[in-house]
Amino acid sequence: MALTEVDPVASIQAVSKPRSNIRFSSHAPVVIVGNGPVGIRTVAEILNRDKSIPVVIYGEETHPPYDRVKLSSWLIGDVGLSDLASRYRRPFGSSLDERYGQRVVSIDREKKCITDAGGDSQSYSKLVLATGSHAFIPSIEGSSGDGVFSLRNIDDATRLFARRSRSRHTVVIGGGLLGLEAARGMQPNNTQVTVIDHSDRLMANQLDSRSAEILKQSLESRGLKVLVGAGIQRILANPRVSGVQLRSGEVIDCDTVILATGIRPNIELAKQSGLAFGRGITVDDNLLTSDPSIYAVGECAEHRGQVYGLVAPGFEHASTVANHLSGNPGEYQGSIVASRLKVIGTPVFSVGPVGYTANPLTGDSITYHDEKTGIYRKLLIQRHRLIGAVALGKWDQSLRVQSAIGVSARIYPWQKLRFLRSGDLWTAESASEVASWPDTTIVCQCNNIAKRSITTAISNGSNTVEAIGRACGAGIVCGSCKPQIGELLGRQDAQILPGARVLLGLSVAALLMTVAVLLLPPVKYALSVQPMQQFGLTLNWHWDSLWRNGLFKQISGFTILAAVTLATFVSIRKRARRFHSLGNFDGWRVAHLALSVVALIALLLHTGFRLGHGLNFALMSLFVSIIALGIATTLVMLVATRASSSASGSLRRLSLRLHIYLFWPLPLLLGWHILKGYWY
Amino acid sequence: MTGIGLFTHVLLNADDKTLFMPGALTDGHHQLSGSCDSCHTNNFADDSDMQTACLECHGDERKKPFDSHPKSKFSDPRNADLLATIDAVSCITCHTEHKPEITLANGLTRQQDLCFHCHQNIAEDRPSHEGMGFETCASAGCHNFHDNRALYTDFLIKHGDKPMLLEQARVPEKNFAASLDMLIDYPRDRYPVTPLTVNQADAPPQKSSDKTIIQSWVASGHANRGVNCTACHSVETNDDDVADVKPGQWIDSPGMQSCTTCHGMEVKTFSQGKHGMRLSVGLSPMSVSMARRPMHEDAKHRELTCNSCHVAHDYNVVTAAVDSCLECHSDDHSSAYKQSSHYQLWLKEINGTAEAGSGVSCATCHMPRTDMDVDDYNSRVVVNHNQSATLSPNSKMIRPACLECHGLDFSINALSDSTLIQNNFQGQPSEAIQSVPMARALQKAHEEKKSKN
Repeated sequence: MALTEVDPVASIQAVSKPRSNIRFSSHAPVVIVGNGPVGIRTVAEILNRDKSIPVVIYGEETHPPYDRVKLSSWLIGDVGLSDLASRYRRPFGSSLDERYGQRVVSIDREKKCITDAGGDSQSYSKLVLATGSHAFIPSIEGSSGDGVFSLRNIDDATRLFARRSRSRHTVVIGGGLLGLEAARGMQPNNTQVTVIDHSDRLMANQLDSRSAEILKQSLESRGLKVLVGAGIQRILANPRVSGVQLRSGEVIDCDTVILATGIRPNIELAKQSGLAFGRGITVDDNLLTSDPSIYAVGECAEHRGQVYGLVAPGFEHASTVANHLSGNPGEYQGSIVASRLKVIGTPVFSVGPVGYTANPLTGDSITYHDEKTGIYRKLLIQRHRLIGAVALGKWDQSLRVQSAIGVSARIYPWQKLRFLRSGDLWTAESASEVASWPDTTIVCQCNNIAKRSITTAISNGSNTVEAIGRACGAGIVCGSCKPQIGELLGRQDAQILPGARVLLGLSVAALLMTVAVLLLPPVKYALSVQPMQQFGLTLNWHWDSLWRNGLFKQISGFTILAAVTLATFVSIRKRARRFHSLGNFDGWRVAHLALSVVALIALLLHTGFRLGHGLNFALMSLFVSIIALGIATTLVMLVATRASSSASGSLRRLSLRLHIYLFWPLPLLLGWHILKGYWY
Repeated sequence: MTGIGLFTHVLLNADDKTLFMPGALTDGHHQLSGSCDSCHTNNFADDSDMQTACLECHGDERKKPFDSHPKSKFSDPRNADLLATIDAVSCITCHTEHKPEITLANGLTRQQDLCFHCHQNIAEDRPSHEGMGFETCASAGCHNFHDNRALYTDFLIKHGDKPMLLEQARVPEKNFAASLDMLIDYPRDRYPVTPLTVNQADAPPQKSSDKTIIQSWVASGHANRGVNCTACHSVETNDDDVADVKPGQWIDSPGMQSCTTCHGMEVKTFSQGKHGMRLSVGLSPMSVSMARRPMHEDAKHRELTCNSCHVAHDYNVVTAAVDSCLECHSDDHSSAYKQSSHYQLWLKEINGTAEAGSGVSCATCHMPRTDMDVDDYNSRVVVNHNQSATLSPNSKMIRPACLECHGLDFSINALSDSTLIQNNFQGQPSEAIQSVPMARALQKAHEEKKSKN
């Protein structure tokens, strides 16, 4: 399926690489064959790097470039004809030569020129084949009959638009995305529409059987008839279509048939020119074909045995080609294909090996299904790593899930439990913190725009969601990422922590002391009672009096108690509403750390780096752990205010929680420790 | 709350309360780890309460003449000001528990050179001590803060001349049989002191089927002195310890209570030493596995009561003097005993080829026969079952044991030689300790001074 809502030009800035001069062997232009979304995107990528490069683009259709993926929306009436083309009317500058309605018929690789249908030749320095694909017409009887349509280009759409009002019963062959969209497009005039698919489910490439069944029920409730697992024997046409006959022998009467049985790459031109091909035109990691002057991009290219039927990988191809032209070697490693679609009002999300052709033994799956809301989600996990997902219905975390699948993120048992319980992998809180996502996380799925590009746009002065859309192209297609962009806008002014420097100093001091407690051997007791000769001085006092003398022990001990007790007030200040008026929290935080450092110093004097024995050891371990977690919390917080990463938020919360939970037994152990001193 | 509950529960019920201690106990007290109350007698106790607890067990030795730094020494106004420097009348000043890191030999938790506090000018009185480090005061053969009775100057002078081996090397004879009359509590009416035969055994018929038991008894001193079966296998009066037993009722396995009637001093001293100290504070008997010294693995399960060494019915004192010890103890000194000349003498004695009292068993030195006061008017030779009394430091063994056979100078030298101790005194001391020569020199100086005057 080549259908994802896309804007080929808008998101260029998001993925633009450092500008460098494109080197050419001659003054001949770069020629692009094909003015579909990927072809246009390639033009934009090249010109974005250097506006002076001469580029020639050929298009077979006479229409100016339009958004192919919106054809079904136009058919339904959601968008007007002008909307289809609006985003493609961009001033590319004088170096672009657009030649539409000109089919390229041959390539002369030796002379490095092409010939169009009108017989004109055009030399090229580099050639980019973006010939796309065509609708596959199965070779069944009657497929050329009167009343058999497909939906690939604007002419097809116009024909169907005309046919729609006359059709009483339309049969759509093919239950993929295009078939379903076409079926919906035929419905407005109470035409009865039946969708027939030979596989056992709808959208077999994207959905597992259960989600497909749910989707089927949803579609049936909207008046569509769906037949799955039903092969077409032939189309009854003489020459006008009167029905279709299934392999079971059953005949379904109809007056219109729409073939939505998949696409095939357009590789005839490449074949003629002697380029290597498989299912598509074979390309390497630079998207170069077997001829080093010719690239192939989009649906016609076959990279590592993979032909991509969606437009997002095509955009990556376009970017790779432009990079390579600029002298940057290709890094294209293949794309992880995520489908994020709206099928007749139902959001469908699918990544990884979850469809009909996937090996059902791959990984383990866990499923969440809420029948009331119709939400269905399934995760595919292999060796504790997330490798695939499929979802029906709205899922706020789908972007993050896609990102996690991209890096094969580890899934922990508690995440599985959370998923089974709530359908989410992350807590709502952590999932919503866009600011904590990694820079490379794709926020705008449609235009493949990473968070980094959006934050760059914000720092360049864009201050509304719309302005960001204009600047980098995020959020202007489906708009489902607008809340996240809004959140990024709102969080941009997150304050730098007041007193950060003091906090850093205190935590580092505490850290050093904590490490010293853990690593340094205990300070030895003095071996003698005789006056000590040191540095030319005679000292009558021995340092071990700190531990031998009960008075000193009590002074250091109660200093710790006092410091800890006072430091605990920060918790009360934070939680008890009544104390909120007592100074601002930043001051309290500094005081909390300072008191902890005082407690640590007193602890060193109290113990002489001894960890103790029995319950004393428990107390010491607990105390040191609490301090260590406090330090961790502070440091993570300090780091998080400078550089955001998805881990920092949850890490800080985790260490803070442990810091607080570990405190609970402290009063008991400390109380016992003090009581013991006097009781015994 | 659950935590507090659990905490208290464990505190109250744990057999070993080491977890609650700020540090492990010393070798002297580690067996009492299940009985905090033995020392911590009062809650929120002050130092004097603690002192009382110390003296509860150690009080007898803290008096003159057994202690050369007794409390009375500091009651003397001339010495009272010294207490400002160091509180020498309180045990815990120098012996703090739960401080393994600073615990030195003999449970000292002060610095080794603490004598400096009061004796820093010793070289003025004793020029011979000029240049000696204060950390060496307590070195073997020199001084002992508490029991200095074998090391003080007059004693050294008096006994220093004796040869290595005395001509008449004999340990005192036991005189228990002769001192039976002293036992006021002995029930002479029921068990007259006359020899008993097999037929006179008064055990109930169903309890006397084992003939070997009867034979062992008949051959023992008990039967020979009229101590019949029921003398040990029943109680005379109601006793708190055996409250569920009626007077005269047969007891299958009599405890130490039955021994106490006649052998009170032995039981008392046993319960003062490491073997029996747990019994004296109401804990279960010591088991060999509790020991910190090396023990035989296969003996770890054994417990220490009277019967552990003195097998019931024949209570063999010969076995108890050597074999019973070596069944458990496996340290170098114990293991080397049977290669020693002491053992050869012991073999001769028990074979009858040498006089009684000429052999040297484990017990000869570690449980020496000592003349002890039985009551206000009487004394008898008691085998001191507190085997710890002659150790820590080992100069405490000189008077009750070594000097029975050896000269003082040799004894001091031998006990200062750790190699010799390890191989159980096979060979001669490697070093001559200067205690006796220094005492003589001091005496000579005094005499010269006197004659000048």
